[in-house]
Amino acid sequence: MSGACSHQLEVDAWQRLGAAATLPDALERHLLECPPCHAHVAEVRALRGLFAHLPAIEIEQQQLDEMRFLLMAEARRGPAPLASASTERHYPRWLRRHPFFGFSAAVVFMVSAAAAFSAVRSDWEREQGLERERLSTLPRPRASSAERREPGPAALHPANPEAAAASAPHVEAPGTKAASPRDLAPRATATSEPVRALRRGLVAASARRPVDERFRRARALIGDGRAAEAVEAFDRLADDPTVDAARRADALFWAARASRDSGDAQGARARAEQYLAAHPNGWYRARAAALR
Amino acid sequence: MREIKAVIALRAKEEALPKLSDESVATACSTGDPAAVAELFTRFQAPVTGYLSRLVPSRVDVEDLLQTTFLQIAKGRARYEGRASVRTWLFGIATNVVKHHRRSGARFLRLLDAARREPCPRPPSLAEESDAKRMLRRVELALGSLSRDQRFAFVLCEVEGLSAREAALVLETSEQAVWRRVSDARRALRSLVLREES
Repeated sequence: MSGACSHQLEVDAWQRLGAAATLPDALERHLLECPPCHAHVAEVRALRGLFAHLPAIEIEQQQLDEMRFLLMAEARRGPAPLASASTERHYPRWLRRHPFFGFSAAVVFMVSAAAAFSAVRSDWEREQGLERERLSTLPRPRASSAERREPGPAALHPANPEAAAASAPHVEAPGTKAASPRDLAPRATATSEPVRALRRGLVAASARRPVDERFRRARALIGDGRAAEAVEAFDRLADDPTVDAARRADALFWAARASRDSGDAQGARARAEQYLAAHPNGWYRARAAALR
Repeated sequence: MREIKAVIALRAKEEALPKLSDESVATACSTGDPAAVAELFTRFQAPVTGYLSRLVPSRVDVEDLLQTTFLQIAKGRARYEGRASVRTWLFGIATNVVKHHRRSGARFLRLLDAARREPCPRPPSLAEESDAKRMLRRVELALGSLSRDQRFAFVLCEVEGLSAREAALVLETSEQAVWRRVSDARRALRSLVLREES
């Protein structure tokens, strides 16, 4: 485009708005009078027109169904405990531009981490030493009859010294008093609480997965030709208030589909109509419409 | 039949999900709501597939990348914060996924398997192709000849219709840098496509 045209900036601004932006009327009129601008805009439009017709790769419907199923199952498991927003990272520009700074920061971090680890470890070892001293001052427990039994073959194996030590008969020192079970029980530490909480969270997350398993099993019934059983399974899912709404909607469609496979055209139609009434923009709307 | 009617009457009491805006659905995804994730996938899988198709040529790769893009959201690794439109946000995630896309051993084996199953037709000669098909093929080849950064910028602005500002958000760079890449890409494509056409 000629650099002399005073409308060059306006044409640039229009281009920067992207292919979806329409050319302002004033600029459109200007194009009739300015051949360089006209040629430039025509070229931009021609190029955009060419690329607009590039066909997108088509993914099979079954693949998309499976993908959607997986996504819902993943969402039901809840967010990852230490999720990092990979798309939302905003490193400082200097860090991005100069890898040396990033490398230096990594080295400093590793040295600090090692120092912190060794400090924590020495603390822990000191506490362990104190704990051993405390236990050594406690009277030893009376050996039970089970403990006094002969060591097993595993304990006698020379490669298993720990088992041998554990099953070795304990000889009580004369005149000592047996410690109470409370003294011997492992004491709850401050760190055990978060561990328990994490475990509770994991159990809760895994408890939510049966919904997906039920759905998967019901789909497998259709594949096995047991459509009538599949209808029952999907109906149970669709009517279960503990199941989330999206999975219930899917179950409703699949109940309709299984009904059709089992020869119950009326049931299939009724369920398909109900699906379309409740979810007019649902994932299965086209296939539900075909079932009506 | 009576049983079906009873079931349907029970279900009819459930209210249909309200038609939420794209922004609301995207925000709800960060709470781990499976329905929201499913709805986002329903609304946006087609545009994201289209975008990925312009960046990677293989169908298997597009499937993988599409799934990975939405898994970032389902797993809570990408959260919508309302800084751009939902489409722009999704393109940003897809762009990062493509950038970090590495062909692992398993994926490569799957690719080989898919290639083995799919019949590989002989590419038609230019004389056999219709003009339109020939032009499309030339356009695809020209797009493939661009550098990665130029292709991202060009596809976002000139094919997907994002503004330079939105593309800068997606690519995490400045608007000026995006526009420079688009201009370079356009110059390269002009010489490749339009000159041959004329």
